[in-house]
Amino acid sequence: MARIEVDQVVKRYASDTIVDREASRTRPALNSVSMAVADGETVSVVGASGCGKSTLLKVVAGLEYPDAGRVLYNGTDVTYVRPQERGVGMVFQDYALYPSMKGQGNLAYYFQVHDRTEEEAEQRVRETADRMGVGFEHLLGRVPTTLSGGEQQRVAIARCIVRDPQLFLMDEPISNLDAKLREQTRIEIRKLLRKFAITTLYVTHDQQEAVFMGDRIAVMRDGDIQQLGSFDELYYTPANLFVATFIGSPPMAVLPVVVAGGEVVVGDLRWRLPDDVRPAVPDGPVRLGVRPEGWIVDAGDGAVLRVRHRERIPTERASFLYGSVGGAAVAVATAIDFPDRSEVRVTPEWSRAYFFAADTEDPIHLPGVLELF
Amino acid sequence: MLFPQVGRRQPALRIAWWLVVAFLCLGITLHLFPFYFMLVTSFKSGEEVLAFPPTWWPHEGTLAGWRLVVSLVQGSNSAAARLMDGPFWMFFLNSVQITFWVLVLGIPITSLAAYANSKLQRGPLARWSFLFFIGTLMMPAALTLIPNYLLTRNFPFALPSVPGIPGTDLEFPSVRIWDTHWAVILPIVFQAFNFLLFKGFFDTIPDSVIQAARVDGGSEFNIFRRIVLPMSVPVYAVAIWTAFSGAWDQFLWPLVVLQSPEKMPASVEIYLLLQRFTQAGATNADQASAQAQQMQDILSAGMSWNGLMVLGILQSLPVFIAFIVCREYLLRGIRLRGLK
Amino acid sequence: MTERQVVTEDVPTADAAGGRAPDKPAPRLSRRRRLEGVLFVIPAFLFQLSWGWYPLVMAFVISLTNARFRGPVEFTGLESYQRLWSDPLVGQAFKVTAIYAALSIGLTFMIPILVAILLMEMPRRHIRWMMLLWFLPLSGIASTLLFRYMFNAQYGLFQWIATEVLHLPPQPFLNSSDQVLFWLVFPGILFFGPGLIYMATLQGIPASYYEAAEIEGAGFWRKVWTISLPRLRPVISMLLIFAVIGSSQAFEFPLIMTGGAPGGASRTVVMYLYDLLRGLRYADATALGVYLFLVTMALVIIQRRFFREDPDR
Repeated sequence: MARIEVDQVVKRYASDTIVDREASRTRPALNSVSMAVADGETVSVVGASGCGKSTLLKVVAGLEYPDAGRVLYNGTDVTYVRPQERGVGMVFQDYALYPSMKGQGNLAYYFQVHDRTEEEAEQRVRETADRMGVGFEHLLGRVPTTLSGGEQQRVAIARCIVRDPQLFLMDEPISNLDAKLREQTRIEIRKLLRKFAITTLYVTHDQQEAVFMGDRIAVMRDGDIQQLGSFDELYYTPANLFVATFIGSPPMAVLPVVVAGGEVVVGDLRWRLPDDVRPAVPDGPVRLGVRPEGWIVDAGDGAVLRVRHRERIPTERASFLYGSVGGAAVAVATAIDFPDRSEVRVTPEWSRAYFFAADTEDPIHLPGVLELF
Repeated sequence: MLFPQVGRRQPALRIAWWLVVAFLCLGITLHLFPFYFMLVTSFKSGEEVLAFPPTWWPHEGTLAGWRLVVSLVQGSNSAAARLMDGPFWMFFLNSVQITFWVLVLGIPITSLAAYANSKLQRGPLARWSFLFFIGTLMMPAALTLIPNYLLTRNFPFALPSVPGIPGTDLEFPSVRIWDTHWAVILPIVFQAFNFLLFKGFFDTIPDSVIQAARVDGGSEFNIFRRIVLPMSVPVYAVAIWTAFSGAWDQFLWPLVVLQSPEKMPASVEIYLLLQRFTQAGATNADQASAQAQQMQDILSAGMSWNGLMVLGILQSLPVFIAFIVCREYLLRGIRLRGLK
Repeated sequence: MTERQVVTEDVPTADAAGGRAPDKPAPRLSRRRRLEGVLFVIPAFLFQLSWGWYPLVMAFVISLTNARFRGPVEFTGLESYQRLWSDPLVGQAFKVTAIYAALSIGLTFMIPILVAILLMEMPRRHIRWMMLLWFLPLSGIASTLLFRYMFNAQYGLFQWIATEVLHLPPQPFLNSSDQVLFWLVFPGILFFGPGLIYMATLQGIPASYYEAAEIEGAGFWRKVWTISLPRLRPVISMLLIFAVIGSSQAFEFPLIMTGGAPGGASRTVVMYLYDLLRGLRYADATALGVYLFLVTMALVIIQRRFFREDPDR
């Protein structure tokens, strides 16, 4: 197992034009990224497409070499070590199975190119098949093109673990599967990761998946890691407005408000801030963030929310009301049996409210992790 | 797809559909007719091929043409053998040899370069080397005809004679490959069009497969051989087919760089035979009578269009077979995306 | 080499890792991978250099000399070009080539596109054999032989069609200086190869494009015009360039069919170039090649101006 450190890595792709002019260069895919992954930990990397998350994964794998910065495994610099010498296993979004080889061959390729004996390869493949569970055995004898997406996925994961890697790298491994299978596979992968306790970097664009998979989550944007932390940290103490709105579903509502004399002014509404919050928020324009569960419904001084649309989620015993307040999109969590109304009044629950600067994304006041016990 | 998938029963659509079918079938018929006519002619007698109107089916099928060609092929001591500078199998073998080397050297060299350009090189380097490799595709071959010819004479100097080393009487060392098969083979080992074909195909292989193999630890060559090659059978079939028909049908270049009759490929030899059979451009009476005399000689040897057609069929046969063998892959192997 | 052996000798920075500034420029690819990439390219590079670019450069050099079969080579400037300029046969050859190229592109270029588009309409199980029969190739020399026979003015098949079927007076075919170029191009209408390239490209167009167009109410020609042709455009553009270059270099077919007769009415530029080569006038022949090159390049540049390749732009 391994401890991974990424130290101020910069990566810029060479443009495809004939003359590599400075002007034609885009911003770097990775802009001085640093992170550390502890031994046996799973870190999900999440972000919109093009944010550099796959590039980060490739740099850690050794498939791309950074323009600057270092990658360390267990404290050893491996920045320019080739991927096969790093002992990593990688699963790709399109599975990347070798189409001309059967499942067996896909798993055995590693041993063939590493000059291992037939017997060892055979034995390792068999062990892996056992670990992968029921029905895996017969995938070994089939050509990838005849396998379904889920089956290809299982072979790809098996190919990854057959070598007993010290680091797992997963690049959106389940986003090509259909919804039901995705759910299932997600649990399977999680179990697998728990079982082997292998250090894992898990790249995805789906924040729910990231939350489910990762012990910690790294949120990326435009080649930067915005925040790296556990779900609670990201949820309750976001590093900036981007992280706050990115994490959580439905997303946090952001209202532009003015604070004056301990009062929050939205349009012609005035909300008095409670005493414990008031000193933390300076006067002037700020942005007020309220998560769906942070609204109090039908309090006396509430803002009017026209319900545009109502979504019931029986499994969570909740229903969400969607509408807008002061021009900002707002989602409100209510009880599942909340009556169908066209209008409700909502007030922020101040102990759960987020305040951000009006012109930057910096947080001013955050609720902090709720102490439930 | 152009015709709607539903509502094909409408009369207008039906008529249009059958018109398209009729057009395509007519085209096929017209296209196949030369093949038919060639075959039929080869079984006609010497008089019948010159008869007017031409016959659609041999009145009296005869193997005269084929027998004549068999004697040509064997080079046996018949009157017909005077027509050629040697037994026909020799020229045929020359063609085979030239084509063989063009394929054996050309296909791996071209495909490896295209693979490297597609998957190993990046950025400006990839762009430059792409232009380096396909740039000559845009240049007329006629321009390089003379320098290439001189190059075969005094490799590596594309000059009429090898320059002397300044200050001495010696000449720079040079190799003369002129009048050898290598002079025909080497210039077409690297074929820019095949490079384009390979590059177009390799570009469609997902990078992730190659990256997965790199993580597995294959060397680049191992990845190429074990992973990429088996995926790329169709494009190899297409490239082999184009390289094959190109090398097999070569005509101008062997005529320029080969001199010894016994080294000529079959295509050139058939041309020379045809020249002897019917001289084009007779402008005066002398020439015409000389031509008539020569014609008489040839006809007395039993050679006529029937024999030539047999040679043509023999010459076409390998191209034909190659096409049939590669047919499964032709559509799957072509993934061209223009010159970019 | 074990999988856990992390540091190997071809790692340039492993030992100096601690002291290395993180922003020091780093190699793009590892040495090994770069080396292998170079090895892949080297043979092709050498061949392309020695038989592609080097002769090209030398062509321009030789055209400025008095290179002949033997004797010292001296730079004579544009003498060869001037000599050719005043040679009436050159003008004739260019005229012949221009007409030949225009006829051949005009008559033969569009047909394979149309055929490919129509062939793709056939039921799936029939496409295969129809395609095979449409694009069945004939060896170049064999088809030349055959057409030479069929064009014979006394007993050729075409003469029969002209006189017996169409009831025209006997036609001179290749013996007429007015018609010879048309008849040279004529067989090309049926014998062509690039249809396969068009079919392969058409095959790659997602069916959903056509379905979407159908929902919009597009008819047959509209779909051809808005989907098939734009998707084919890069390939059409490429093959048009090849067609321009190829037909301006017509040599083998006219040589075997007519040898330039009657009276040079079918003598193309490359045929004249070949005559010069046989006359051992190397410099003149190369200068003629340069003339041809300039003309075709001008055409190619014009073509690329008017014919943008990318369908998505």
